[in-house]
Amino acid sequence: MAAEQQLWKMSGLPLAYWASALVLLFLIWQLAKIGRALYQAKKENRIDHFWHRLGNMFVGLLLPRRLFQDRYHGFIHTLIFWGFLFLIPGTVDTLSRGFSGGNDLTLLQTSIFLWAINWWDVIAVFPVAGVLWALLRRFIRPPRRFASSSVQVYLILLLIFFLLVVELVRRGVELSLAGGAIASVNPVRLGFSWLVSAFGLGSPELSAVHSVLWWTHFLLLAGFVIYIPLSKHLHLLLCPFNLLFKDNDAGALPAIDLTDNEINKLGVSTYGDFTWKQRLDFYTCANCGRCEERCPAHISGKTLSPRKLVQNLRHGANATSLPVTKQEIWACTTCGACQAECPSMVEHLKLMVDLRRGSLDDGGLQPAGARALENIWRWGNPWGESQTRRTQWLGAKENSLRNRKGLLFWVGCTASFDPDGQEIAKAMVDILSRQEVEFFVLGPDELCCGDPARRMGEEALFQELARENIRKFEERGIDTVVTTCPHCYHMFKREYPKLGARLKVLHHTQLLGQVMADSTGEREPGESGGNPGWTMTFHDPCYLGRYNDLYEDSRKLIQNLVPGNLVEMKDSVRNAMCCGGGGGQLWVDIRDGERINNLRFHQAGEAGAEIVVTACPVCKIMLKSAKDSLNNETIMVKDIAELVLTHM
Amino acid sequence: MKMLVLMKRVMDCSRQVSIEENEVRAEGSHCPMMDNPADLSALELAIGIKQTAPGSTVTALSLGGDEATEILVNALSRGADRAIHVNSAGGGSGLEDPFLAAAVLAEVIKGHKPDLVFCGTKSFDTSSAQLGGLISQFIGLPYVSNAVKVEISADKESLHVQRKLEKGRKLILKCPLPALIAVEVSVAEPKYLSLFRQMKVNRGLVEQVPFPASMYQELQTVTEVIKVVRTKPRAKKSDFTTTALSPLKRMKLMAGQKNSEQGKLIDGDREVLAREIISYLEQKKIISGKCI
Repeated sequence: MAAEQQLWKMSGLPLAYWASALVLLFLIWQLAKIGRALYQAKKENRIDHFWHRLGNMFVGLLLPRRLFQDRYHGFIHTLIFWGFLFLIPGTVDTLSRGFSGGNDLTLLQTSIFLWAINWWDVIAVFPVAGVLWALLRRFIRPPRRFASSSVQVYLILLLIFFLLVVELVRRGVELSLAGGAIASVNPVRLGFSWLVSAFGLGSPELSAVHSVLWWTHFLLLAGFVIYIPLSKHLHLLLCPFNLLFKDNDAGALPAIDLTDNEINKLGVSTYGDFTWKQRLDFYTCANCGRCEERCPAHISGKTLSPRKLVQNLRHGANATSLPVTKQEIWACTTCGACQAECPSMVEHLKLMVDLRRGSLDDGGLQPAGARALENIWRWGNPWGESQTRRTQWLGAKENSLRNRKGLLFWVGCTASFDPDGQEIAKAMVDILSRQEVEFFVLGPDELCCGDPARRMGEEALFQELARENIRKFEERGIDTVVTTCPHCYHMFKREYPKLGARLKVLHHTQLLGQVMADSTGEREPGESGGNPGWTMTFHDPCYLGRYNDLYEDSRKLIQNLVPGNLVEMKDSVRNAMCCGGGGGQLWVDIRDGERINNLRFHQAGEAGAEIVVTACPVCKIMLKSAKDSLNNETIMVKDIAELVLTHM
Repeated sequence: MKMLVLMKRVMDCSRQVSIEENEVRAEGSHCPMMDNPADLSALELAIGIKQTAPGSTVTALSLGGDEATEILVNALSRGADRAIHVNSAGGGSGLEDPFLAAAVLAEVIKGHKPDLVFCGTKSFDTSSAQLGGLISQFIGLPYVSNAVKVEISADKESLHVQRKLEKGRKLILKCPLPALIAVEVSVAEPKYLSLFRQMKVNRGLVEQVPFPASMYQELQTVTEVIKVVRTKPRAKKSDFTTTALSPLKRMKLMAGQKNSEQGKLIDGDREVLAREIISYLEQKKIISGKCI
């Protein structure tokens, strides 16, 4: 033991104390700066249902599903993250011994910690493997998002690598010097010890090496701690908080009382306008790029990259105006892929809408988008058509369908005015009539549900529309609505209730499943009755799938009723790629780069589909226009209602 | 730079406007109204200049009945510093005469001593295009109309005004300040104004200025509106040759004779119209056989 004590009497220890103090002070200073920024930001309530939140936080930390969206990286991260956690006792032990000149910390002498200390070397193998795998992945078939990585990544990976390897070697040296009279032995440590002995150094030399290694480890660790608040590695400390404070109603924008005199301004146009949660998002962003990889705007060559947007907002905090361009703000389709992918729980959707709200009055809105909003204001629909033309597609049936009772079939603007959309509405009417479902339509009394207005930042217009629609529902005692448009569905189901609506809302894929349940008795799913059928693929609308978790109904409906086989496109179900029409893009229509709908249409072709089945009139318009602009003659675009009708 | 923008709330002639029984004017009380587009562009231009010249002010001025409040509130939402309403209710129908309107406005403007006055070249409803010129005479300011571009010179003493001429030709003038400039709609694109901003503006900020009733008695209009006629679609005569015409008719047309054939006006729902058009095209042998 005396030799061991001697080993720990290293020179220059006071320097270590001072260095530690400085490093910790630095960390505290940086964190305090962040804390102050959060404290000064706008308030937002994220502590409701606190125990539920705490539970979710632990689940999120233990089972990070989003990390595993990238198969390999999920494992790499687990190895490094959990490896690090289990290595903490041993590292603390090393440091305390160094500082105290060889004394053990009594706190660490309990069994769980002792185990971690004694087996430190074995545990360390895992993060080392993780780091090597991560480095390898940078060069062998790297995912797209690595293209925009910075030098930081390599710095951190190498820092971790050397931190671990240096300590492994030091422990080997320590074992060598102790000559077997040491409690903490494990196979890996023995291995390193053997490696060290192979150099044939004598005790004094080994002691010196040991000191050097301890100091190197200490300095690397100090460097790491300093680097945390300055780099993307801040997510280490902040992710648990972002998990704790996450939005439990993601996808539905919170209600704002516009009549409140305290509110003089909507949205964000300076740093002071962000809420603390938004500022926290900017700091927590790990710059990983998973959002960017899935962003349809980015993929198609627009300047918008959610990752770049958030990172610019993090680093630009001293600027007078926001480091965001109009092109970026208006290229978003609000598909939600970024937010759904982000393992750091950054909330991009609300950020984009807030940026749009703040940019509306600056003349940020493209002329076509402004016209759509003006049309909604003047005419009640973004097309600027007279409301009386809403029922033109009904023709002679108009009066009978307006006066009936029962289920309200909400047609929506797109299905009322656009010819492709009208086909969907007509199919629905036919199906419901044949299945003898009692329903009616509102006709000219339908006002735009408000989705384009709200997603383009025109909150006041949205609230006017919503209030008027809700008033009409209440006046007529409407409590159940079915709609063919996922945007309207989302509004009625998730956002109208915050303004007082009480509605049971169904999307037509849900209703058709129920309504057709009787007629599927004779046929087994997939049985074609002699008809070879078509190869079909289902394009998940963002507002049905990602926003509202409805993936299965449509697929079951197709499989039960339509002969043929269902294939999946490259990006489908949760990862479905947007058609490019949401977020007001049907009107705003930023033209840089490729067309998003063309890219999606290509995916259908690659999947070998003969029919692309959609469940949204906007998706149908977008995909049909892709078909036309690509001069495709072989693939059909059909709404699920149309398909069901032809196979009844 | 003290700027004044003359604004008018006009009848929305793109929609159905009904004419009163006596056929002397459009029915004002139920008529859909809108902000005169050229005036909104003028305001946007003024606000643009304000942003480049700190310390400038923009005042919106409107002569009209209660409907004028709407355009003034809009002006405030868009960034005007002041909005002044000269309420013409009780001023009588003579105010449709631009001469009288100009006299009234000139009185008000004189009191403000602006450096720069903007107005639209003409209004969407009455379209006389005289107001700017008349006011400039009453006040004694230089006047340029049909401006499509206005820039302040470096020395801030004069303006460079680009006028729109026929067939895309342009004229660039140098005009000393103070001046009155009548602008076209294309001089500036009014920014999108969100409903929220419109909601939040304080309507009480619109200043009411009494109508100088005495002045109305002094100046009498010499013109009188006799009749207002609404638009009617007219059948057009065709004066060019087509293969539908016989060779003789074509020769006569080319020689300068007028074509006595007149177009036919048809009415009805879409199906009727389509069938009429097809039968006409078949009759004229422009298409042959059944297409349906």
